Amino acid sequence: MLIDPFVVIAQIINFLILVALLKRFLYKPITQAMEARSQRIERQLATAAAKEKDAEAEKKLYLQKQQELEAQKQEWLEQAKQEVEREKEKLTRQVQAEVDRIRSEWYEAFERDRQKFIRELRDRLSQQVALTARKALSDLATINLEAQIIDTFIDRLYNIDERQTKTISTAPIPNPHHIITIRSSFTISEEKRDRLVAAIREKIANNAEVEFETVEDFICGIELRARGYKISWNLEHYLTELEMATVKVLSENNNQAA
Amino acid sequence: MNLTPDQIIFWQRDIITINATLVFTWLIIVLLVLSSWLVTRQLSASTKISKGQNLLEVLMLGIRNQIEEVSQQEPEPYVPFIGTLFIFIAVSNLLSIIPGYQPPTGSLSTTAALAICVFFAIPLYGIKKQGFVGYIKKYYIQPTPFMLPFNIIGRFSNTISLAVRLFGNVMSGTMIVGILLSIAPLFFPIIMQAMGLLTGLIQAYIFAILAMVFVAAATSNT
Repeated sequence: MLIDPFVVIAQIINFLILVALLKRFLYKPITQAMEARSQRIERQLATAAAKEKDAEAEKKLYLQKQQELEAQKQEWLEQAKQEVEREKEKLTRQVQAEVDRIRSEWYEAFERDRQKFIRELRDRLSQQVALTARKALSDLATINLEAQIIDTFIDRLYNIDERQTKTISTAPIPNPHHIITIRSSFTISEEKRDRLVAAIREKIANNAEVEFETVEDFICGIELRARGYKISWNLEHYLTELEMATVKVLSENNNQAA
Repeated sequence: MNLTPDQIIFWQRDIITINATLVFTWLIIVLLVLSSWLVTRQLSASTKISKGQNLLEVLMLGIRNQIEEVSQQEPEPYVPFIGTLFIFIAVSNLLSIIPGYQPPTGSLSTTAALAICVFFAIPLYGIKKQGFVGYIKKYYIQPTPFMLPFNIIGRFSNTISLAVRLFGNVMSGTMIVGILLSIAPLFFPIIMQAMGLLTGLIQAYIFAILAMVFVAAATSNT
């Protein structure tokens, strides 16, 4: 007999016991361990995902902050640049103004010095010319300089042209006695005075009274004033011309130097 | 030469017989439970695991995957039954490499016992899953009620074929080795033993898979 009923029943019981034992000692613990591992891995993955998310957020935040900082930096740089530019312009303006002020002061001082120098030069030249002329005239001729001046003046009176004569004679008479004043830097001798009076009466007004006056402010010369007109011979004219010429030369030299 | 280990009797009183089938079955039970206990007493849930745990986990995953593949259902309820069938038969057959060992699966009593377990497991799982009426309707009166006798015959023949197939394969393996030992004692028995290991594993797989197919047929919703 191939099948033993007792063995069959015993084997069924054995098998069921084995199922129960394996369930207790094999399937359950192994399944639990696998579940635990699976959960643990899931937890770790979830943690990793959360950390990655956090890291991503941190990264985003960091990038944003970096961009903000960059923008801020650019803004500050721009501001600083503008401020520096403004400061530079301000300082430049100040320096320019200072330079302008100093230059104008210097020019003023220079101009003052120049004027002073020219004045002094003119004065000295005038004096020197007068002295030189006087000495030259006195050295060259027997007559003195005043006599020569008076002669020249008398010649000028005689040589006065018709138009001028007419203008002077038609001008209104300023005083009732028609006094004509001769002003000179020196005293005129009687003989010369008579010649002057004669010349005046012949060329300007025959009824005029002539007054003689010695003034200090003339360098060397003689002047006639009648009806608002003036006829004169004065070293001052030459000196003024000389002064003008000197000033011109000095100005040209000055401009060239500038 | 014994046809089955049932014939090796150690102790007998009336109908109670302690033969090699029972003794080797107990040995296998002790071996399985002991090794399981040794491995599972210090299980680790971390990613570093012992070799034994790794082996058992691979085995468990294999069983679960196979059950899931065959049944298209959650494998959890079937793992203890189907898994134990596979492990018991496989270990029984694999140990036949040890000289003097007689595989309990070489006894028709054992294979019949296992087939009877499957025979009763089918309605138990079916009723548990679909209810008594649902199970009867689905499993016995399909496609028409007239088919009921044939369905019943089919269920029985399934069980008998399970038992006889396993018994025949294992017994024939043992027999072939025995015969070859008497004809050509060198080399050939070794080759046949190796073949026996392969067929033993295949038979375990076939038995468990067929059992699962029958159970799945009773429990699936389609």
